[in-house]
Order: sequence, then C-alpha cells, then structure tokens
Amino acid sequence: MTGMVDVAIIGAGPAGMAAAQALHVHGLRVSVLDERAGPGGNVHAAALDHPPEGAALLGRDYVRGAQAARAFAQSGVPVAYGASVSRIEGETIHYLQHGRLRQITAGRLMLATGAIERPVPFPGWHLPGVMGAGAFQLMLKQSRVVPAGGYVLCGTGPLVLLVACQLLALGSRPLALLETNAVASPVRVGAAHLSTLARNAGAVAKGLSYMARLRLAGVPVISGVTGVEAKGGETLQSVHYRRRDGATASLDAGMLLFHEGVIPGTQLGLALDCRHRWDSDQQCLVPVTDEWGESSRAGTFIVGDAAGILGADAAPHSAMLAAQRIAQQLGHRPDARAVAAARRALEQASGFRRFLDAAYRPGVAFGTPIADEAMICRCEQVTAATLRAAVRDGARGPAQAKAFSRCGMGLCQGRICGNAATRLIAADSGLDAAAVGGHHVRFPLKPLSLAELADEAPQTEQADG
Amino acid sequence: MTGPATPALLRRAKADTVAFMVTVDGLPVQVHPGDSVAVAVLCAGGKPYRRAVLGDAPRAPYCMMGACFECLVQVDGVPNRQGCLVPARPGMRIVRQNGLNAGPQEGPAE
Repeated sequence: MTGMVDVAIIGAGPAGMAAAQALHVHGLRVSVLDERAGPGGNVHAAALDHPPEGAALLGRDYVRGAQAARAFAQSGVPVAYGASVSRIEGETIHYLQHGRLRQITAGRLMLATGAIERPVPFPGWHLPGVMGAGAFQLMLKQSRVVPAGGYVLCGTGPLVLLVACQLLALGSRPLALLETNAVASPVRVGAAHLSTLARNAGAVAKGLSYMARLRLAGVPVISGVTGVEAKGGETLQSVHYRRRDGATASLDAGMLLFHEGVIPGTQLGLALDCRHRWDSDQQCLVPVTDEWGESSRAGTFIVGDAAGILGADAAPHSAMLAAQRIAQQLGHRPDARAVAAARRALEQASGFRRFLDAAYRPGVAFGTPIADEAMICRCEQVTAATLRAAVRDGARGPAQAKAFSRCGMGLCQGRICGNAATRLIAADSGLDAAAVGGHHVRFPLKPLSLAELADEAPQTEQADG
Repeated sequence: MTGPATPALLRRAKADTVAFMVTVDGLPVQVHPGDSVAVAVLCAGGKPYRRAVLGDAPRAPYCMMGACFECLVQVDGVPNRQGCLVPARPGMRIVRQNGLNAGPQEGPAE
C-alpha cells in the first residue's frame, strides 16, 4: 500500500470490491482496507479459502460471490487485509494491522462497511449456544461446521430459510424453525406487490424453493412466535417460546440461532459525525446521503448495505454510482451508461426490498417490549430493567442512559446494545426514536493498547498489504 | 472451575483434506483452512469459550463479524484478540480468557 491515495475504501465486500474496480479502471489510486483475511465481506466470507467446487454446497449466490471475490483478488487493486480502522483525522486514516498502527492518506473516503445482524435482546440471549443465525452462517461458510447437538432456528426473513437449507445440505437438521414474523400471511403482502414480484421472479422462486426443501426434510415450522427465552447454565439447555395466541412451549436444545434481519453498520459513519436519520420502518439508524452516496461529510461516501439495507446483489450498484461521482469530482469523465444501469438496478432492488420488509416484519424486535430480565448490554451486563430505571430517572437518550446505567460503555462501544437501547428509551419515554437518537461513537473504534498507540509506524514506512 | 465438561458447540460436517494443528489451552486441536480462531475454540469444547470479566459468566461468540467482542481470546501471548477475525494458523497457541479471577493458564500475561 502506498501512503497517499485518491480514494480509501473501507470494506472489501460486494460494495467495496465493485467501487475499487470501477475507480481502478478510471486510473485513480485506490486502497482498500478490510478487517478480514480475504475479500468477499460477510456475505461471501472465506470465498478464497476453499476450492470452488466446494462452494456449491452453499448455493448459487455464494458461488457467484466467490467468483467476484476471485476476480477482485486478480484485479491488482491494493488491499490491506486484517486491517481495522482505528481513527480518522481529516484525510488520514489510522488503522491497526498485524499489531501495528499504520496510516494512509486519502482525498476521498468510501465506507463500504456492510451490515450487522440486528441484535435482538431476549432473556438468556447471552448464554453460550445462542447466536445470530447469520453469525452461524459465517462459520458455516468459513469452516463447514454444523451444531454438535440439537438446535433451533428462530426468526424471520429469507436468511433464516437459507441457513436452514445450507444446514440440510451439510446433512444437519434443525429440531424446529420458530417463525417470528409479525405478518401472519406473507402471501397476502405479496398480492399487494405483484408487479414487484414479477420483476424479481428469480428471487421469489428461490424463497419458495427454500420453503419446499424445509418441508421435504420434515423440519417442523412453528409460526406466529412472538416471544422467545433461552435457559441454561454453563450453556444453553432449552428454548421457550410464546405464540400469538398466548400458547407457550419449549424445546431442549444446545444451540439457538436467531435472526430478525440486518441493519446498516454505522459505527464509522457515526464516529465521523456523518448525519444519520432514524428509519421508522426498519427501526434503525441510516446515514443521510445524496443520490450519489456522498454523506454530510464532504468527500465521504457511504455505499452498499452500510447506506441502507438493499442486499448483496444491489451493493455493487450503489458503489458504482459513488465511484463514478468521485471520478467526475476528480476530473474524469463518468461512465454515463454505467450510471444509468446502476440506477435502474437500484430501483428494482428497492422495490423488492420494500416487499421483503413488508412481508417479514421482526415479530420479537418490533412486536414485543424487551423483557426486563434481558441483558440489553452484554458487555457491562446491564438488564433492560436497569435501563428502564435510567429512563425513569430522566435519561432521554443512549448517551445519558450510558452515564446512568453503563449501558453501551463496554468493549463493543454500543454496537450490540445501541439499536435496542434507542428503541427501549423511545418506547418507555414516549419520545420519538428520531429524537432519542443513537450512541455518540468516538475514536478509537476498537480498544487499542498503549504499546500499539506509542508504536505507530510513520507514514514513510508503510508495509505492503 | 470444576464440574462436568462443556460439550463442544460445533462439529465438522465436511472434513477438509488439508488440516493443521493449533493448541487451545495447551491441548492440540485440528483445524482447517478458512477456520477462525473462534471456530477452533468452539470445536475444542471441554470448557466455555470464555468467562466474562464481570462475574465470571460463561460467554461464547455471538456475532462472528467483529462487533460484539464476545470472542475475545489470547493468541500467541497477545490477549483480547477478536477470535472471529483472526484466521487460525499452524502452531498458533490459543488460550481462553477466564474472567478476572482465573487468568490465562498459558503464555505470558500482559
């Protein structure tokens, strides 16, 4: 990596890879930083770690993603892997790589930091054995592992169904799928989106085939679940759930894989003071950008799912728009056809996303108040009851609540509790979630040892990626 | 901590032909290309992945994407590495972090 570039891109997932290649074609100097050891982001994690034929087990989308990652790896774009952004001051990005702080200076910044699985606190979610279904899927992609004992899938949305099918393909069958969809009939929602569904027939067929495979494998699908609780000691022992009609039941299980969608990864944008808004439909913070993806911080663009969830297929298109805009700002001629094609693709993706959002509403996160005993802040072990007491004592936002209760003060710096804290404070105080807002995120983005801080490499001594 | 051994949360569905060894708390564990340090510990089993600094509560990775810090582990003598982001490499010495009271059992404490 050279020390000074035109554009630094944070994240080598579908958006970051596409942006880097588009800018590279314009002859601009680009550097990509990614925390992982290879390209592909979370959605195509470990794409280069396995022979291509093995990827077929994970489905066609993963195979295509692995091909994109391979093409990116061969494109010659400079990338620093294992590189975690620590702080950004002006145009200088300080990042930690292989235990050493390094710097790179970039005239433009592109945040392609993707999404995180929506953290949904419920009683016992901190027990070993309970994790995100998307989190589990990452291990499945990297290592072809399955749960060692009995397990339950719980949640709503296409990803839960996909993970179930991937597990079946690896010879592992869940005890049950607990559906937490707040919408009783996704089919009825589909009727209101018929033209959208027709334009996205491939994706619809994919979803239907997941359901068919689950039925064929005899996986019990329990719908209308509105509340869930994990119980155990050293590790998860049983999953208890409540259905819309009030009926309760439980299953003995060693793992619970939970998923109610994904939300934008906003940590870096918030630390940079980029303007964000509260999306009341998706109940999460979303950065405010112009039609090219440029944020309120001039020269900082936010693309892909980090800018609002549209999915991996759409991510390269928002990245393309930002890349063309940056090229234009730097005196290059933008590719008008690429811009038009990207806008068309994004419009189609937005339509389909509106259907998905309407058809798969998170029933636990959106439908049920967070139970008092749920450990909302896992780092500092702060329960929802304690956060509620802080609200009663006058806390009107996550920053105040943090001072009152330590919620959000731990190592994750509010990444995991932030979304739920905003929702709880809004619900309990009667304030609009937009007014409650999110945590104040400060640099360094991840804990840094004093030795690392003292030993920052001078810019002239940059190692190669 | 004594008591019954905690079963491993994960098992390998498809053994890769390429394998190498790391140690977890000094015991050899076979890992494969693509494995993170977190996966190596989860496959090892026997004990909880880690114990929290507050109250020694057992914890395990939750997000696997570098956000939750539940996967902190000591790697080659360096504490508090995010196990989900660190690829397993041949010969790595991985040591569980057991809260404040029972510190790492191998390697230099920093």
